[in-house]
Amino acid sequence: MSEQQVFVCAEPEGDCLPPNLENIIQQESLKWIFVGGKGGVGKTTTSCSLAIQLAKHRESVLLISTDPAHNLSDAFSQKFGKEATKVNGFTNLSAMEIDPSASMQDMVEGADSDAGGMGGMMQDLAFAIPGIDEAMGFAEVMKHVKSMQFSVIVFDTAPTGHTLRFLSFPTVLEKALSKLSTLSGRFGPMLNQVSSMMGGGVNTSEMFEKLESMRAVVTEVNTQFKNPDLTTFIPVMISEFLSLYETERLIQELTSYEIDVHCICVNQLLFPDSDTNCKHCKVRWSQQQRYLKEAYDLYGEDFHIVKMPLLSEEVRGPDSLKKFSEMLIHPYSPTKP
Amino acid sequence: MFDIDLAVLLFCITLAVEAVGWIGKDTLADLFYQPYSMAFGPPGSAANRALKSDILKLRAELAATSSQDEFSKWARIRRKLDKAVAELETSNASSTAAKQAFASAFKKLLWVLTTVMPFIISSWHRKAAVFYLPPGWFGPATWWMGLPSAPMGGISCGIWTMACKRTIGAVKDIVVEAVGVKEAAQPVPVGVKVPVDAPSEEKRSTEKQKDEL
Repeated sequence: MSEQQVFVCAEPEGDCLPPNLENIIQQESLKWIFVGGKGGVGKTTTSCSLAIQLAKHRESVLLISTDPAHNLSDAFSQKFGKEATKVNGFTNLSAMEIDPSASMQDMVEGADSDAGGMGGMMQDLAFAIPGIDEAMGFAEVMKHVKSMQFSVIVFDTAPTGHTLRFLSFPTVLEKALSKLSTLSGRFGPMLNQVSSMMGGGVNTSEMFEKLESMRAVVTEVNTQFKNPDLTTFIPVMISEFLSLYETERLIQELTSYEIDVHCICVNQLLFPDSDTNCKHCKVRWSQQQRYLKEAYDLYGEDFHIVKMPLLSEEVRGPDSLKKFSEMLIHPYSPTKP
Repeated sequence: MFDIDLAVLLFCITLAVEAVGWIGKDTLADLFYQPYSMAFGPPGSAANRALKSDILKLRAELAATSSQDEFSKWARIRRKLDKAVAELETSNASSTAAKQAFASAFKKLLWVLTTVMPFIISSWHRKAAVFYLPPGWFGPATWWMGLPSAPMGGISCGIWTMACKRTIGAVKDIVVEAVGVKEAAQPVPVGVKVPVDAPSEEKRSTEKQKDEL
């Protein structure tokens, strides 16, 4: 007679916040939601599911991916591009896959043609500022998106979390750009004189205007992202040591940038049947439970910790995603045999 | 007649100015910063020491906790440690800034004391002679000794100060060399030969050694 082991999933001790993303759905002021985490933890699945749930309660939702690997197209089995495209089967959900460095390239190339030699040099100077390409990538997105009037935008961030690097130097970036613009303000007339003497046609004032607008955009981007009413970040993790460690690092980093984070998704959890014979599942389950307990201990009081199961099939295609998305709101409970 | 008070006053001032120049303004600023900070200074130093000992304790605790077995405890200690390190850095930065502000103010004060003060005193006594030269000693140079405004036949403050300065400088050099010679004359275990033939030769060789050093 085989032993009947009951696999009871760990629960947080004491009072805890509801283990679902209902609070995100209910917070209507949210405009920017980032979903991130390292290493194949299920970011795209989570961001798509969240977008689907949001679409039920909001006027219009835009899902953006900045990952060059085209994961949104795979998830919905539909081709998405640089322009927002409606997702099949939904009335108010659109998706967009952009490459921020590409949009930067376009901007640089477009500007180069009219600025001339000197302008190119100043532009190189401006782009040497750390984090500026990510900032400009976001600025492009914001510009694009503002004109389209979406109620909420869900960002599926790139696996390295690289996209948020520019938020680590907001003041440095602003200071550098403001110094550059004061410099340009002082030397602008002189440069114009010199260039006119030498016979060159450098339109410095236009270039300086561009720098100013860059600075204004970066400031606006920073202000929006630091406002907890407008922006939040949802880290996704799996119940393993490295993922937990990375999540802790990510949360500390986000807190230092003053970005709100109050939900965590723990994905790919095992829920073995009580009459299972799989030794591997049992061992894996106990490992996961160990780290899950640590996560509850560390984050239980301040974060909504949402548990998502590892299903037997891949979560791909609109139907699976719809089913999966329900579990963000109504926590998964394994069917009893 | 011989105005001993004025002579001594000028000599002391010159000595003080030379001493300040010799010791160095930065050294003096550092020296004076200690009592100043204890009297008025930022109340940070005791807090700093407490912070440093906290950081060491936290580091030891962190090393003793296994990140894999007790992750939440480890992460909590790590958070506290990072916060303490950040606090220490900001307080260090502010205390360095305070010290530099004090040093620059102190150096300005020293400049006033060593430059402006002697000038004021010399100007105050410009018409007085420090002492009168015996007539006829220096012949035509007597007039020069009285510059700028002392009566004919007397030595003015300016000239007296300059003479004091030169004397003090020369005495200092002699003392430094004498002490240098004494140090070099002690047996050096590296096998450097110090010939003891004649005093002049000795001086020459020690000077050569000093150059080599």
